[in-house]
Amino acid sequence: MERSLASRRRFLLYGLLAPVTLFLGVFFLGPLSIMALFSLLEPGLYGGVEWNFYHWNFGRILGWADGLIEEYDPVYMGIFLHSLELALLTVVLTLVACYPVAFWISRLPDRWKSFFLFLITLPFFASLIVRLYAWVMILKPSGALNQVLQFLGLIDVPLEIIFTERAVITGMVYVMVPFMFLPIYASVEKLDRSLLEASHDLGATRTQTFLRVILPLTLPGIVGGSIIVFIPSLGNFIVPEVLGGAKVMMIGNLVEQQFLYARNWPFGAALAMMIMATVLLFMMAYVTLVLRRGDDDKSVTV
Amino acid sequence: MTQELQADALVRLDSAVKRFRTPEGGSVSALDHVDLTVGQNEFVTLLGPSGCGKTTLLRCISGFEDLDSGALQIAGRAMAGVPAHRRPVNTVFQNYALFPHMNVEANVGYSLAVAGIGRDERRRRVREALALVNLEGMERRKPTQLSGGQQQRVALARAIIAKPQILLLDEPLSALDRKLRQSMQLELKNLQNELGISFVFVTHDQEEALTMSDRVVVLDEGRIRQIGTPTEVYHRPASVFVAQFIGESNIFAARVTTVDGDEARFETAEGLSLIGRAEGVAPGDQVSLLLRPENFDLLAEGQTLGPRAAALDAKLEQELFLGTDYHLIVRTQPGDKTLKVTVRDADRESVSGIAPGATLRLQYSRHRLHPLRG
Repeated sequence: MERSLASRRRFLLYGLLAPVTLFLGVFFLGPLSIMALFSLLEPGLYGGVEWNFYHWNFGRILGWADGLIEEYDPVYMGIFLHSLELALLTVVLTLVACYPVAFWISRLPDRWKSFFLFLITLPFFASLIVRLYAWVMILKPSGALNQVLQFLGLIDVPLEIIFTERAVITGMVYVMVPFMFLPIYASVEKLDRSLLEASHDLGATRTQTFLRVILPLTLPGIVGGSIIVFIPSLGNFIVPEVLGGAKVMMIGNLVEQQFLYARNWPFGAALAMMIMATVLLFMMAYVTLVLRRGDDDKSVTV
Repeated sequence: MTQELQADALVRLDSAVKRFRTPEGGSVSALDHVDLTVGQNEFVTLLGPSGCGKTTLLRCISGFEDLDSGALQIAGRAMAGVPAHRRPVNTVFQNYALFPHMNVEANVGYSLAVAGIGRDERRRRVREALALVNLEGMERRKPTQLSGGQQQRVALARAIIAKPQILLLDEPLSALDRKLRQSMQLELKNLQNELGISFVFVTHDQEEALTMSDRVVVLDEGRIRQIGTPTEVYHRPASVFVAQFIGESNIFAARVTTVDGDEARFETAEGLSLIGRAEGVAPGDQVSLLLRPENFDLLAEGQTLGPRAAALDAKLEQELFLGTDYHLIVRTQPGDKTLKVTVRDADRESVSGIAPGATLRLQYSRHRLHPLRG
């Protein structure tokens, strides 16, 4: 049978898409559906679930509690909002750190560019846990940072950094910098320098050029980087675990506790669903808000 | 005329020097003591091979590069330390440099927007500027939705909307195809007349330079080789470089044998004897001689020489048909020097027996043979 070119092309396309579709279907959609289902089931007495509809998992977080066993306690909502705050702060700090650096590196000669890009990705070569314990070494009262500051005479008593929120933020920013940097760099690198010259030539000051040309053209990178940093930041539990000690708890730690220690899978699942819903909402709001000016065919490439 | 232009010069460059560092650590002169003036409402073309410094010169005027030494004045004001956005010049860039995230209206109105001019007036002036470049009704399009020629027009409208005193054009037509380029050349020239502002136009295309300019500045290796009207630089090039760069040329190395009034006899290195103008030459001088391909005519058998003409014999090597003209490659007899000769289709028809290997008799106008120095 003869097949037209179009149908051949379609055949090829489906063939190439099939493996990844199958993979995501089995290993992403499957577990996700299980979690979504569990979040609406009654927790079993010794772990696992009872197959009864049970909305109090979400109630405990959002404001209606099972009045028989417990009163509503806003502690979960507090942890949740606080995690949100930390995640947003991480996004802002990594953005501020990466944006100028991306410009600087993009203006370097090629071989220096590759060298600095290598440096940016260098942390990926070592295990995250090892790197975080290195931060413990740096930030602890007798650690490198305090010793240097004391040696310079800037402080008398070691600073209390480790196991505080500052340590968690430092660690989160440290972990997320490459994820913010790479999308921003990609869009900055694409920026045509002659556009900046054209802008100056047409009478725009540096600030005007930044606001009218540079910022809009690098916005896709900023949006992409922010999303990639925000998502894992909100659900992060390793960084607060290692650097926050017992004092800082983020929503990720709470989920981890519910699954591993409290063995309340439905409640953990409900918390995880909350994280996902928030991420989705923020992403949608952010993308529509920031890119509303690109009112036409241009779509964000994340 | 030159004096007149200097008096009300809009741009004045005095001994401008600009050096760049090479990757090897050396330094190369992009501008080597360049003196140049551009008058009011003048169309000046900077012409030269790539790397001759013409774009650097333009960038120095627009304010993207600093001069290492020398002075630049625009409209009577010294420009040292004045940033690009405060100079009364606008540029049409080689790649157009249209803002991809803005539509045509926003692109064209950009200079008005940053100057804080209100929306309504901006609209009106954008419409006017687009009408000037024949792009009415394209306001809503994005640059990517335009053809190369349309993008070119948008870039032009954007550069003229703020009514600069000088418009700088950096090889603006090089990306267009031949037909479009020729019609844009005409339009640019008309636009310049209409606007009454000065154009400084950079190109490496000599044809473009000759067609459009009031004056042509021929640059090479950062130095000005000649400044003159298109006819001057074409017919009376100042050096072998200019002669070879502009138009097709036949160059002979020769020695002056005798001078008789305004005519001189030359003996070329190949042993040919030629007659031409005696412009500042004395017997015994070593000179280069220029004869353009179109300065030759075919002589039919038995036809006598025209007045003030001289003849030479040549063997035909190859002939190319170019539409209106024939392009002949011939070798002189004696001397065996390869010459390029252009003859009209009609003239070629009148001479029989033209075939590769045939011997032709060529005549040239004696007053078209120029001795060049250097």
